[in-house]
Amino acid sequence: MNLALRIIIDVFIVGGCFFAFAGAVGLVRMPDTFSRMQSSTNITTLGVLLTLIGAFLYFLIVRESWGSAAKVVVIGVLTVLANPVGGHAIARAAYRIGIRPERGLVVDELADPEACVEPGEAPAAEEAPAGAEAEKEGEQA
Amino acid sequence: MSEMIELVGFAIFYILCCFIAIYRLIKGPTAPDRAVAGDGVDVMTDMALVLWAMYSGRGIYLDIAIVTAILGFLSQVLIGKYLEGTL
Repeated sequence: MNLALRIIIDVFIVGGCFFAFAGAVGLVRMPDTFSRMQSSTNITTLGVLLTLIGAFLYFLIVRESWGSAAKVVVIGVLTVLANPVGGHAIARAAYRIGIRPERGLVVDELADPEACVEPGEAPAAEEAPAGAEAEKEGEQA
Repeated sequence: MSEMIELVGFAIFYILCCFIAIYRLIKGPTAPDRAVAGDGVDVMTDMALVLWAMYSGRGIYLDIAIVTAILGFLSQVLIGKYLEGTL
């Protein structure tokens, strides 16, 4: 096995380990809930992605296993797509059950009672782009 | 053999980071803290599984990592919905 390739893969995985360690330490030492969420995102984006890039190179070049490389890509896509959604759900739940940051909020859009309504309940938001499209069509005609 | 023995060390490092997050999971004052720390433990366990699959050359660990990733996402969204009261 090529030594340069081994060093490249190790550099990717060491970078992932560093970001995972930074996220775990931030998870313990950050002062309030939202700061801890930000620090946990550090684990799930850069830590996971750098490690998975290393694993992808290893499976593709060293093992020459396309199936395992595809599984690694599936894990990466799942993590990248799923963690912002889950983090958003938990952050909104933390706001709704009354947790606030220690220093106070600069912008507080969730305090608006009409913020974050469910998609089926907001017909007013759907009419505005339709009107804009109608205007564009009128201009083209 | 093209084995990379340092991958085992990286996997053990991820498990040690899991224990750092488990401290917050036990101590955390509110429920979102525990949910976020649990998600961190889940993701780092995924990475340890991927590293062990790289070392041992068995693809079955990658399947387990995919299932763990999906279950972590589902649990996080469900805990968020439950805390919000819209489940």
